[in-house]
Amino acid sequence: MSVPPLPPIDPELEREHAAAHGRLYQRVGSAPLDAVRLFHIQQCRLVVESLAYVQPVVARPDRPMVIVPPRAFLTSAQQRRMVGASAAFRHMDSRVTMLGTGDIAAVVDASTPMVLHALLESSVPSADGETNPGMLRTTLTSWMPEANDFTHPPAHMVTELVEAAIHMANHADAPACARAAWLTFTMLSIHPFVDGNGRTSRALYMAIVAPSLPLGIDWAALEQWSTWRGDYVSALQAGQQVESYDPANMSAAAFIDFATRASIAGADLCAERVATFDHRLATLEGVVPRAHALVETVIEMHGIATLAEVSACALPAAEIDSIVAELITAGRVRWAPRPFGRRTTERPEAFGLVTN
Amino acid sequence: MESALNAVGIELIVDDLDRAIELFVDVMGCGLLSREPSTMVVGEVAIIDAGTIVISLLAPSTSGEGAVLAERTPRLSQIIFGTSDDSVTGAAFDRAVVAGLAVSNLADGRFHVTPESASGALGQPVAIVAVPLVAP
Repeated sequence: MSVPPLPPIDPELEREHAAAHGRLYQRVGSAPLDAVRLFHIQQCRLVVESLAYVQPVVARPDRPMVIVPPRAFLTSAQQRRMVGASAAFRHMDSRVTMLGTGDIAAVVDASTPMVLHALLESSVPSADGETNPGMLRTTLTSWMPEANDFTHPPAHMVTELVEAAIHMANHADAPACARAAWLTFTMLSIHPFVDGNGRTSRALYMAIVAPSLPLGIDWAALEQWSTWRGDYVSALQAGQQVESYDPANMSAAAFIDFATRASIAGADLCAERVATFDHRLATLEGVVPRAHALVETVIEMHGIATLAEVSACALPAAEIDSIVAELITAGRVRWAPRPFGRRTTERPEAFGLVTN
Repeated sequence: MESALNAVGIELIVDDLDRAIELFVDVMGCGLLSREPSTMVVGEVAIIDAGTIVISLLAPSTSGEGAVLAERTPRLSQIIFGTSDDSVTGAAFDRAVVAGLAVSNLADGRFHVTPESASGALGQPVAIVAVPLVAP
């Protein structure tokens, strides 16, 4: 038993993908550093929300949201998933950096799926208890039959299949976007873990595709997968029209197509976001000093922001304190009670800053 | 804040539709408006006239032609609000987004706060649905 074939990607789609990420690279490169910083603050949060799969603020929007409020009203399990997703994201980011410095040979090696799973499951996010973080399953699994009657491969095959999948994703002669989407499809079909397969497979997409992109990360693909969840599931199931794991009769083609189009849409949306933050800062700069505009925009994009959230703007803490005090004195921001739906174990603060 | 959104109905997922109808109609004295196959998911649905609101009783099936509801645990599954003023629905949508709830656009001006998202407020997965009503 082996892994499904890696189908060819439409060359035109591949060119569109490269062009979209090239446009985003240029947009980021030409934007001021503080505008890029705002973009990173929002996009890091959206990556973690998507990786954790807490539902997006708006599913199936009429038009893409440029500035997206943070998800709130998270259950305790979702809050723990966010913690794990954040750790997994940092792990991938470090490995991409280490690849760039030549310290490792590939972002994803044989141990990466288990490491990512261990990080994602480290805070015990599952409602029904222990899910053996970092360990491959030892029992047969399947989805709920009414949702998908596909049966995953037997547990004794999982180690070999995961190794084969990682080898193919690293070495196949295909564009990285196709290899990354193929790996997600294949890992979800192998279902190597008791729980957390979706999160781990999404993380692996990020890890495989990252080195090929000019910014070293696909900033919004996973956000698009969450926003268009129905299409994501349909694309996966289109390649699993068999009763059990049968690689010769499975096809990742539909999922590669979906994932590549999602990546293109996400890149274009990100370029629009960078431009929006750039314009916002330029507009505010005529009213307040540039650093004040940065802090005020961070507050505005959160809706209501704690000082810890404002500190993401990367200014020194003393400077932030000073700017906040001046913005309050000028009547541009004020302290307000934080809605209970936004208070979490990580961020329990009773008050936050809002713009007037 | 004056709410122009009115609660117009609830949906309960039930195991035994005959018993559920008996409770509301024979015991509580409500009217049975209809009982027919469900159009959204495989199963049967009964609509109960409960005075100022309607109660939908959904008994999902485990098999059949069409979509099978994955989570069939009996529960309060929806609270439905309505208004004939589209701007009120739009404002409620905007407030939900700003509040950071997960909101799903539906057709015809409807939206719902997802059960998963509402679970973070209520401790149970209940969809909060807003629908446009035809003005009387």
